[in-house]
Amino acid sequence: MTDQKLPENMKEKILREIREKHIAIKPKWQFVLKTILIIFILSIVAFYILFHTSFLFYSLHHNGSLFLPQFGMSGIKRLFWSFPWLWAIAGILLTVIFGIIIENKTRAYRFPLLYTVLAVIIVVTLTGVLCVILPIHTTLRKINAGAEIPIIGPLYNGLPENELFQTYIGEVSDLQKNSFTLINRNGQAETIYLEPQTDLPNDFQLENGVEVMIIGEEKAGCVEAEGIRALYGGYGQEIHERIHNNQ
Amino acid sequence: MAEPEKTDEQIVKEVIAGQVEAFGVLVQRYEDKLKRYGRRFLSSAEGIEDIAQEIFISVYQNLKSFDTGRRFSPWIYRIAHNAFVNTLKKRAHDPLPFFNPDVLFPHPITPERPDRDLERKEIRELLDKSLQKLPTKYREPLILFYLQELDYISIADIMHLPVSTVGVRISRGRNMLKKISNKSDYL
Repeated sequence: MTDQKLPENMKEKILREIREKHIAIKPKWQFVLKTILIIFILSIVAFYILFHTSFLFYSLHHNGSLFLPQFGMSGIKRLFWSFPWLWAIAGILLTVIFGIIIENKTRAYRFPLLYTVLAVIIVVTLTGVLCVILPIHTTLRKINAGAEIPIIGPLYNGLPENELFQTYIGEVSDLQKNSFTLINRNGQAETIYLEPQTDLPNDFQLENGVEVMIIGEEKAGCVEAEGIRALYGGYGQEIHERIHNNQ
Repeated sequence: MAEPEKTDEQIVKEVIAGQVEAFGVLVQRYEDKLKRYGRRFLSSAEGIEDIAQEIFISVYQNLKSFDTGRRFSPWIYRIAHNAFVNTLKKRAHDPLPFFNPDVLFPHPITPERPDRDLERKEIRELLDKSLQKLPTKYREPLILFYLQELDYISIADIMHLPVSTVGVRISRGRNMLKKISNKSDYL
């Protein structure tokens, strides 16, 4: 058999298969359905990643993690130990999977992978920050407190009030020379001892009714304060409301 | 006066409209090209007849997913590329890397070289002799550019790579060929 006869053979073979209806053209609706399905899955995954990431930012804001760097290395160390690594790694994995789907199913392959990854990171981060600035999660948490939202409700229920490692947030009360009582966000009282080495900013006047964040070790049911910072602005107001409304 | 030859895209429209015999023209036009591409990409002629047939069957079955406003050749080559990559994976003696770092970073666009006819011919001869010594990731763009005579954009669409990466791979592949063949005067 010469090489020149092969094209005829293959042509005839394929045409015979077609005539005998062993192979057929797939209907257009199959491809349309596949495209719709891909867009649907991509939208769901994208929506979930945005929710996942913004919830991470919100939970860091909610429990005060974002204020820990104000304490310097001691705060950063506590932030490291308190950081929700599992949640963050899950978010990164989801983003990678999303990137792979995008690369395979769209024309994103025309751009260097670095651009695609940077674009995804920027969009996800900005959306996460935006969700903290706009009270989306705060509103959802409040709605959930009234009637549990399906699927995402347990996430808001699980937002702990005092989950940070050796860190305490609340309102100063019953201030004495060397101690005070801290009313935390659950309305519980904790005794805080002020030590000579307790780190307090020069311009900060400790007084009753001020919302503060404290780092320190708990010993025999009391906390020896290593550092104290006032929670001014929106977050301080939020803590104040949470203590007084007990939300 | 002879009628001008129908374009691939016109033939696809006819096949979709029910003139199935017209599909034979597409098979005739692409059979040799795809076999040549496959033989060189796979570094072997083993099973190439069956693989080519599978490619044409897949093309026929998926014709309605082809956008007739676009060019047909990158589309059929993309199907062929997938079939050959799957064959390489099955054979496993020419492992494909899971990730290529050259798709990560942007590269300056390497312009398509307007090689002289003689130079192109010489490169083709070199490719025939030394192609199998090149890694797969450089081999394929060189085959598509020099032997199948496709442009960078088509190759980028076939291999799902940025155009700049195609340019870099062709340029690096050509340099590798130069070293392998030890005939730098040719290039």
